[in-house]
Amino acid sequence: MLEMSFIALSVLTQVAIVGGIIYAIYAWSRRGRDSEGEADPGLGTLKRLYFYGISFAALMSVVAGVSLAVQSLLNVLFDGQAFSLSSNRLAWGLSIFIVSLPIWILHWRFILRSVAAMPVESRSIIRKVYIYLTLGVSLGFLMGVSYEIIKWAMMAGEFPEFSLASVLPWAMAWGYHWQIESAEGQPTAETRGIRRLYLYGAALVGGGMFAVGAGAIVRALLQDGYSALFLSNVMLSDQAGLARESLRTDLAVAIVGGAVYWAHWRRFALGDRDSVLRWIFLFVATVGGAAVALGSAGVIVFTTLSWLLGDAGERAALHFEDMPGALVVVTVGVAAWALFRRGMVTEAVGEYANPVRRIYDHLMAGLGLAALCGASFMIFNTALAIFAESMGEAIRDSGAWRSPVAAILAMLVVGVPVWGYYWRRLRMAYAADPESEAGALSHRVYIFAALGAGALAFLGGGGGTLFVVLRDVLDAELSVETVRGLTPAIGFALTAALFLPYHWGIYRADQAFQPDGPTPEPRPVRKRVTVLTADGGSAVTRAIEDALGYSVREARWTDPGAFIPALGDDEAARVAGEVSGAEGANVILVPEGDGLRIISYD
Amino acid sequence: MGTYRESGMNNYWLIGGGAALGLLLIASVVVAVMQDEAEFAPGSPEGAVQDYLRALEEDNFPAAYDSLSPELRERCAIEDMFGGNHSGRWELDDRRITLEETRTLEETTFVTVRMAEYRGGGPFSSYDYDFEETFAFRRFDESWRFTEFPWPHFSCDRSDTGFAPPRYID
Repeated sequence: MLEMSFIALSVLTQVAIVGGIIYAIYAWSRRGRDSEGEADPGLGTLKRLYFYGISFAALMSVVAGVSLAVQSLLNVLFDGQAFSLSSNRLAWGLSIFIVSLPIWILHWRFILRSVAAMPVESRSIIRKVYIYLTLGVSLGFLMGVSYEIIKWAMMAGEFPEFSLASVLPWAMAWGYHWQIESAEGQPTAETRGIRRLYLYGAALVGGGMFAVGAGAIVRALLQDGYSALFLSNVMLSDQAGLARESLRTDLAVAIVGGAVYWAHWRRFALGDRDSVLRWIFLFVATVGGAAVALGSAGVIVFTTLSWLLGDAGERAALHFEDMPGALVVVTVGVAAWALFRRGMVTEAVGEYANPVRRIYDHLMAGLGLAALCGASFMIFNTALAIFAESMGEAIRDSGAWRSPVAAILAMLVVGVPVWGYYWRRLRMAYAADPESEAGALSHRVYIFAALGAGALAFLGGGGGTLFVVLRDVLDAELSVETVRGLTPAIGFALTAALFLPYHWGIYRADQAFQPDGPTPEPRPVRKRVTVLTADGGSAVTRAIEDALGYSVREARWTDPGAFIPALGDDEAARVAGEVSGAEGANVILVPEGDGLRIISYD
Repeated sequence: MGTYRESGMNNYWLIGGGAALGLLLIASVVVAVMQDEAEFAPGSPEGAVQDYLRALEEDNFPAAYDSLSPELRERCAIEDMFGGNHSGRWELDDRRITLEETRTLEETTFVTVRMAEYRGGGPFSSYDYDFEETFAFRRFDESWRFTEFPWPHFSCDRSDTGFAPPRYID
């Protein structure tokens, strides 16, 4: 369970990082339009990068140096009697601290003076990135060392020398920067965005840790009850009971995660509104909770169905052993789904009501559609496998169909109601106001995502099918094995063929509600044009070509009275218009008076 | 920093925290300077471990070899123990070795020590690990001697054939 929690945390952290990068690009792209910044450049970007970069590196070094030195003190105080000593740790700690402290003080003092002298500095994005990066790194270390200390306090871990030594320096680094930031505020949209990135990232990771830790505790207790009722266990004393080490470890995860979540979501981000990142957090938490709940519900249905279909080759108590865990995951997922859905509904008022409803419905319909596509793929796959098996000589009923059939039914049980419910809501909204719904970004993203995934699946599946067939035909090995080899590719292709037309139809229907674009200008009729001009009249020819938009032929006029006509831009445009409107397919332009005479012929 | 003090920020906690860290740093240095290796009672199992480790540290091969029981000495000659690419003094370099516990089972005494090593590579890179080793002793002629090959000379055993040599097939 703890491994799963680390995987979940790792995924959450990656989601936060990817989200952060996407938001950074979004914020950067908006910068030019929305910036409330002043023309005053302040320190200048390069100088800022230098001072904040060195300050960050020096501060991290100061904390690392102090932690190492204090850890060496704890070693001496709390380790046993020493056979042999080493001053490596203290020497490293002191050397890092002594070198980095003056560097940090020098650079940081310069920054503080600059902010005091030039108020625009407090609006700098680089400054805010530095502050929130420091806060994020400090918080990450604080979470790690707090977890170790709480574990040790509950007698579930070894004496955490490093954690005890570094908790105060990290707490001071976090507290000092938080204090500065709280006093300074975030005067621009970009700086508010950086703050939100930190707040919602921390809340997401903290909430995830709390859910994983609390879920692990409940799961362990339920598993104990299940084992006591249905299984005979041989359990070591320190692995049983409420005070077992694994439960204390899970409790430490829940305490640290809960504290970080509560502080960042319930306190620091409480009054924050009109934020894209806040909505992203709410959608990730709501739909993430739903996905977890529905996925685990699918596992429960699958386990039950595979038992009913006779797929389990073991006694019931063992087959259903993982049920308590799955039930806990469903409960945690439903709790997150309900809690954040409520928050979403509460905040989605006024102009946000419709877009939020639409995005949520599309995300949920997407979950349902994914389950339906999975079921469809497995239906085709299993049908082909059974067909291939029936072509061979069956020695005995392998029963291999039972597990896939249970999986198909489980996916249908989950996918049909979810997709049906949310897609119906979306279609009803579409029917009521097709123009708004067809043009909504979430609708277009949903349709294009479905079309894109379907097209890729069709490409992959079709290509794979053709490859297997061609390979076996060319090797003269066309047999029942060919059908077996085709199963996954055909499954992809047929699933795509099933869902693509429906979504393509919706896309076509949407086109009727797209706003009309600008009417394209008719392309000029291209004619064979010859310009008659005296020697040196190339400028006239080029002016005609520019006005027409295509090349013309130049004919040299050699008569004694030959001349070059004067031709301005307006005259050239007039000539081009008359050339286009001339009756004949060929046109000759003859100098006459102050201009050109237009003669057309076929 | 004066700017923020003027703007009404409460810096007392910062001063207090900084002072606490400063005191801890001074205490670290003072304790490190004043700290000395423990002197275990001569004739005790812990004293025997200390004598053995000091013999290793000083490259005093006869003294270290003498700490083996007669049976172990039969299985391992002194040149096998310290000859060639033997583990010796360098294993003790920059290692902090502390006593964890001493336990006695019938005639055998077990002394467990913790070996910790830290190698710095700068503020953002370091190598930090520790492990426990247990030495087993028995009294022979009024002195404690190892009844199992002690760290780091586990492989010094003529009677232990180890892995079978590879067979080459033509």
